[in-house]
Amino acid sequence: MALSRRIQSLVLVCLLLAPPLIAEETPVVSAQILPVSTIVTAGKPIEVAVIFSMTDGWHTYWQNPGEAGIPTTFDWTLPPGFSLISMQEPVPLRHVEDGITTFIHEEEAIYLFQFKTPPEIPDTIQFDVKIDWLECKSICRAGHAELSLTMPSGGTADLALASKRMGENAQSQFAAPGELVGGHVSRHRDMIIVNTKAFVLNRGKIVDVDFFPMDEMIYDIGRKPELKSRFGSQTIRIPLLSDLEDVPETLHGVLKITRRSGNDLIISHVLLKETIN
Amino acid sequence: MRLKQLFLPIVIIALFSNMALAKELKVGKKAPSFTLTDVDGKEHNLKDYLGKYVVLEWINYDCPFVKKHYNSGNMQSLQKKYTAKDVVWLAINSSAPGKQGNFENAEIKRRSAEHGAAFTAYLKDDDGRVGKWYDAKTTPHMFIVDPKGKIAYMGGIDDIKSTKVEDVAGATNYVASALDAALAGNKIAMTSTKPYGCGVKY
Repeated sequence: MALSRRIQSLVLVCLLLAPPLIAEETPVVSAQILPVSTIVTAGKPIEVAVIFSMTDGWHTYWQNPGEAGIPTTFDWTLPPGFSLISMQEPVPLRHVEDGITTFIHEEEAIYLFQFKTPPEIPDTIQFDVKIDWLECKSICRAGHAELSLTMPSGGTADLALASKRMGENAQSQFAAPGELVGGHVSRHRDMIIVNTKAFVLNRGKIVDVDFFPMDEMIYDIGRKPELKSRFGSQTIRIPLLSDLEDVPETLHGVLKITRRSGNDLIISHVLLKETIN
Repeated sequence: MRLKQLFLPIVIIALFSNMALAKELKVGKKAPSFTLTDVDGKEHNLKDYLGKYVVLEWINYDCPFVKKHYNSGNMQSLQKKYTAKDVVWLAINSSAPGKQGNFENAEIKRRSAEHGAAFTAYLKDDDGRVGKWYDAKTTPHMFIVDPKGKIAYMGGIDDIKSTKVEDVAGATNYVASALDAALAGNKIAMTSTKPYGCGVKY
């Protein structure tokens, strides 16, 4: 009896000590694949979403991960005749830890894929994808998933509503393509200057900006862009790397703009691809 | 008395000099000098290696990218090949105590032996000073210092940014290319690339 109690105590101690080890190995990022388009029509693009869900505090990386990390990659096996048209990725968050700046996704990230369909479509179609990512919190781990989506080309009513909601949710996470109406992009020394006269006049004063470049090794992402206001116009100054040899021709990335409208702060994201004059 | 009065200003100037060097860290410029202790308690001063090529490898044995290059035998192969050619190879860990990658000396020795690591020394940079002087961002993050003490290469180890062991064979190894060129007296083609890996856990 005494031995049994000792064994029970030992087991209890082991269980109390074990959780941190167990917790370290439990999945913290999961991925699932869902259709956005509910009916597949020959010749009309079809949309599929891959949704990442991340445990609190864990993150994955944007297509330009920043100073560390790697982007998530997708290796698709498609039905015959199908081809990838585009991938849309949610806008990132700026993450600075120990002086290292990265662009990350937290909590949930919905990637939207658009595929070209062939002239003839089988009754059932299957999409397979192998996904690799880096998941980090205080430690970093490689993540991997192999997902499969099989759907009837005719679609189902069950899919319709869920897909519509998910598609709308995904769109809210993306940057809207935009252009600087009446604006101007130029380079001055180690800065890219974006003039934003049109924004001030029409949509409320800009109070904060950030820029997430698509191109790596051009911008000094360790420094946030500066916002300068002068005589009714506002200028965004995006720092370049100090030892940059080649001048970029295009400002390509996501501009995050925070505007004040009354007591409200309105955040919008604009996908920019502007020629630098 | 006079020497003691000068000591603190000298230390401050030296520290600020290295901090200034970090901001100006570029290929062709002087590599920040440092003294770090290895896992056997021996001190290594970068200046001791003037006259030789020195590779600085920022390391974290628990980082998936470091695991990629060690589990594949890639990093050890490079270490063996180039230390045999009189290159000094210093692995530096700048993880803060309690953070991923920071281990006791006995554990470092065990893991290094398990991997068959062939670096000249594994140096501990617990307070991250040297990592920050070099602006080391990732593990791995590679630097090559030439015999005159100047930066000859800085950046990634190769051109395939992944955690997959199977990618090593098909990748262009920037460090090997740089060392082969430098040791042959030729110009290094790629002197600066973007490093990839886990963030250094300062």
